Amino acid sequence: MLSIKTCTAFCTRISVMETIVFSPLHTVNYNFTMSGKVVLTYFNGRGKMESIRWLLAVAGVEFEEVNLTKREEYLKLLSDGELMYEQVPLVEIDGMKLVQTKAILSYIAAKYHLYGKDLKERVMIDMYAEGLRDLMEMIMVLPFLSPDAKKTKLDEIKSKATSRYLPVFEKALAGSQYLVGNQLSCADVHLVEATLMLEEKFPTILSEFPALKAFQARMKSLPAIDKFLQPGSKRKPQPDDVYTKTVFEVLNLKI
Amino acid sequence: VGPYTITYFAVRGRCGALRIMLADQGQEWKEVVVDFPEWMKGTLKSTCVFGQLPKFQDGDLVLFQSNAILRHLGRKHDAYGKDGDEAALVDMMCDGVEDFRLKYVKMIYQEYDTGKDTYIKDLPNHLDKFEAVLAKNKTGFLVGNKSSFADYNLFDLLLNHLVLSSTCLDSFPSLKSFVEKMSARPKIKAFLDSEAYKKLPINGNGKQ
Repeated sequence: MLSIKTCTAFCTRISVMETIVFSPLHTVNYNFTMSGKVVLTYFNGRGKMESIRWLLAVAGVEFEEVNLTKREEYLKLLSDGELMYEQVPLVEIDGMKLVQTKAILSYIAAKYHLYGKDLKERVMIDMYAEGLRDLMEMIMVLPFLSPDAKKTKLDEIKSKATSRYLPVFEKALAGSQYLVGNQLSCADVHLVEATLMLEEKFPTILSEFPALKAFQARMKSLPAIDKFLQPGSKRKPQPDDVYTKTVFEVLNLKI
Repeated sequence: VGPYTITYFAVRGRCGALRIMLADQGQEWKEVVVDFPEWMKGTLKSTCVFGQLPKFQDGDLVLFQSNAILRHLGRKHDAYGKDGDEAALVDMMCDGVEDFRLKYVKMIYQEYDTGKDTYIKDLPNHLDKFEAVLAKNKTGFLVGNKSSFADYNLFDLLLNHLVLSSTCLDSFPSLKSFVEKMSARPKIKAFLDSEAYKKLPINGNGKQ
């Protein structure tokens, strides 16, 4: 009788110990698996490469940049067979030459554990990320539009952001620190990037979205993001005439 | 392989060597950092086999004892000599490093103010043993011609001693060269240059 009681008590104690959770001060991730340098090839500006810069910065991955400034440089990339679809962004990472922004973002997210814990979380992250990319794409084209078209586009961006996109993320963040699965993912990184870009055009746009405002403040205090937002970081400024002109020349675009 | 997790305090301490080893071996790992007040509550401590940290997880395997962790990583990453005889020599060197580390730790935690100068004066009597082994082996490693966990262990301890006394290796050319070569290995250099490494104190009492 005594031994059974003792045994039960002992077993109960063991299982209670295993489920006790303590609060760590913080966690740190280290990754020395990368073998070589990461090199980005693009124009000297945001464009489609900016989301990649954000994600690499948050993942703590150092990278170098090669800027295209002249058409000959682009033609050389073509003749060297470096660009699968004759397009940039181009990201050299882990011995591969990657093109297609989404493929690159997907690889970085998966490699650095910013893609959820399973397939279902991953598709939720993709849904949020794709919506944000659609929104950021609208802002991306602005420098290439005529003044009238630009004004119309800005109105469209503001209206779609406030009625279609931002409410989705406001809702997702009600009672949750992150968009998916209680941990940082590339969707969260896109959301910071997108909301900051929107505020550059419409400074008070988040005033109706308290959860988003709180989220943005939390994210900005993460060391990697705080560092990325300091002057001298790899973050690119808003596009200017030099950027637009360079893109037109390098790609030989006609309006 | 892995995933690897280290649970430890926010110090280099007895995780210094194994972190350097993981970095040099091109691994990724997660660190769960425990603060001392939380540790003193005892809930984590009671789950540790010897009531101590570091705790190391390799998938489902949970290990304690820093040298056991080093040996486990040595087996996994082919850093345990090339055969049984070399493995025995690696064990011997690591045990020698442990003896030296115990003396260092005792001085740091118990006799820093009164015993630091004597310890530094006495250092050559410990350093010369490792100098002799490195000078004889000539490969730049303690045993054989590749790095073993004993090398990472010695390297970490020597880095600590250079903080204690920056000139302590000046009359030990093989040790000096050993530290320089290890520090220059790209992944070790990247690790030693990182903010995460630089901001961690060596020892829990802040003395160094």
